[in-house]
Amino acid sequence: MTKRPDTGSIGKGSAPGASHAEHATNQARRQPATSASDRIADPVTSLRCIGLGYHHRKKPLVSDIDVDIPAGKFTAVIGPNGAGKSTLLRLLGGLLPATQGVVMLDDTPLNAIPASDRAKRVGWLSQFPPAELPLTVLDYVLLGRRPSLGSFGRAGESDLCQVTHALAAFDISDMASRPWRELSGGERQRAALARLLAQDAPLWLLDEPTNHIDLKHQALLFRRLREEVERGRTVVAVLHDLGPAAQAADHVLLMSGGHVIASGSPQDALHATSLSQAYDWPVDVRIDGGRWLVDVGA
Amino acid sequence: MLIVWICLGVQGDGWAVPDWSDPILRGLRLPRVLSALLVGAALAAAGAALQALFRNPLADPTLIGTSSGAALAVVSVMALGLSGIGLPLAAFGGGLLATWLLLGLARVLGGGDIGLLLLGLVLATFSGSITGLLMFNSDDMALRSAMVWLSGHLGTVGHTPFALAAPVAFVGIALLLALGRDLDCMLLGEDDARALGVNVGRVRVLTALGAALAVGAAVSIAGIIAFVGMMVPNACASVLGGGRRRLIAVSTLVGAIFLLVLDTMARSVAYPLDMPVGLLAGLTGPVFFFWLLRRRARGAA
Repeated sequence: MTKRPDTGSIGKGSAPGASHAEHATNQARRQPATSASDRIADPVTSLRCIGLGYHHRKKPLVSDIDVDIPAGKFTAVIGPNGAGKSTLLRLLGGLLPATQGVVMLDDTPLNAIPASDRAKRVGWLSQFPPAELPLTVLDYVLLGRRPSLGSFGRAGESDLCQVTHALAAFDISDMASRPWRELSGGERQRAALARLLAQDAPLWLLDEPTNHIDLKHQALLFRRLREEVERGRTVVAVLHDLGPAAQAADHVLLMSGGHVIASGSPQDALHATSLSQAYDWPVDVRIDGGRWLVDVGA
Repeated sequence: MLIVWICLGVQGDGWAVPDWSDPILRGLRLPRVLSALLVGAALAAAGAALQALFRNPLADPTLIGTSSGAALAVVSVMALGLSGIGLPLAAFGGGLLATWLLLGLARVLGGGDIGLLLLGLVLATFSGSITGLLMFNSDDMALRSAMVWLSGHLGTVGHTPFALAAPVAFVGIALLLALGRDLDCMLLGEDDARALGVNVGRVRVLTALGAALAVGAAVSIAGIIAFVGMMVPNACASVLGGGRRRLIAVSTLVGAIFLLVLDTMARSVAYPLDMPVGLLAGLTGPVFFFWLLRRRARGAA
């Protein structure tokens, strides 16, 4: 925890106090902290995979996964293409029915939780936001409130408040009324993140959240994820870049060929041997001045 | 209301203030106006829902085979000599079967947006051919006259078909409205919809059911009227934005008025010739279709 700057205190002071003139320029700086003060309600207490596997037409995509994913921590899932990262994430979210074993969320089998209740506990960010969507950004983010509103509930004051906050958190407040079609790839990704924040589930599953996002917003995203973890949220993210993953995560799952081949803190799980084995390519990592450096000999 | 009143007054030789004691007005024109409203509303509502279900703005009950399936069922039932409430119910059954078949085929075969439309078209043409075969082989004059009905004609409806079809259509539209928010989630993709707590399988089945009820009712009255279910919701969506429920509701209203105006034109423009309104819709539709396709191609680029 100590390796990261405490961004919470910067924004907490300036958010309510910022004058209107400063508003625009301060926006980027104050966002990460808009609500870092309070802890989330009803956090996840445990997330466990027991003998978990998924076979598609007799072909195993993931198998024999026995891991504890620490609650209230940031877990990064890394590994080469086709290692089964996304499949594992979808199993964790209950979006795919496990063909072997079980996912236990708070000591309850995930498949025993009704979909409507599960959606209040588990938030999901897909790898590819849709290209065509006949909705405005605001309507899109408002769909994040569906788990608590149900099919018929009207969005009330508090729902809109959460949506507004979520839009601001990902720097897209000014795009709220724009049609989805006009957004760039990175803006769509940020809107999807805002929807996830508006959903307000204690467990977040993110499939390559940094896709298409520029440097500034990547940095803001990692900061935001750290903050959400401080607030008690459990975050599991499939990440492609080893450096940022090791930097931001408390825990990593290294996957290869449908198996988890290493699980632990970045320092323990990520070393030249395990990485080279996973990627079938010589990879070296070292920590230099608190920063992770990845050498792939390219 | 004003538009309905004006359309009621349109007669062959100009316009007159609607006279309620006139038997032609009450017995012929009123059911025709009511039917046009109902058919337009049902087709537009079904289109708005199906576009969300298939994640494809080009979806239309006619293009994906729902209408043809319904028509085939109606003709089969007529060939068996049934009538009355059996017609809208048979239409519903046929439409439902066709929509489910397409859903299943699309899942198994894939093929993307255009592939879906091609599958639908194959389905529509196939059931159209069977319909044609049935009619060709029949000596029954009633079935021969069904040819006119099939091309989307509102000229022959009376009070009874309307009264039989209206409840079926209303149930369908109500069901689609109830599914509004879940259909929004379906637009995000299957995984996202699931993650938001939507029972994807159930929404699929229910949407097909609601659309088949609405389209079945429409087809049992007026045969196959193409493109209304595609034009109206897309035109509304480009102005409206917002959720699917509101879009379905607005499309229902706009679709009703749209088809009424179209049918009023159909029966007055070439007077004393009474054109099937389906032909007029078929003439305007393609222009709109190409506009949509082009907009989509641009959006993708």
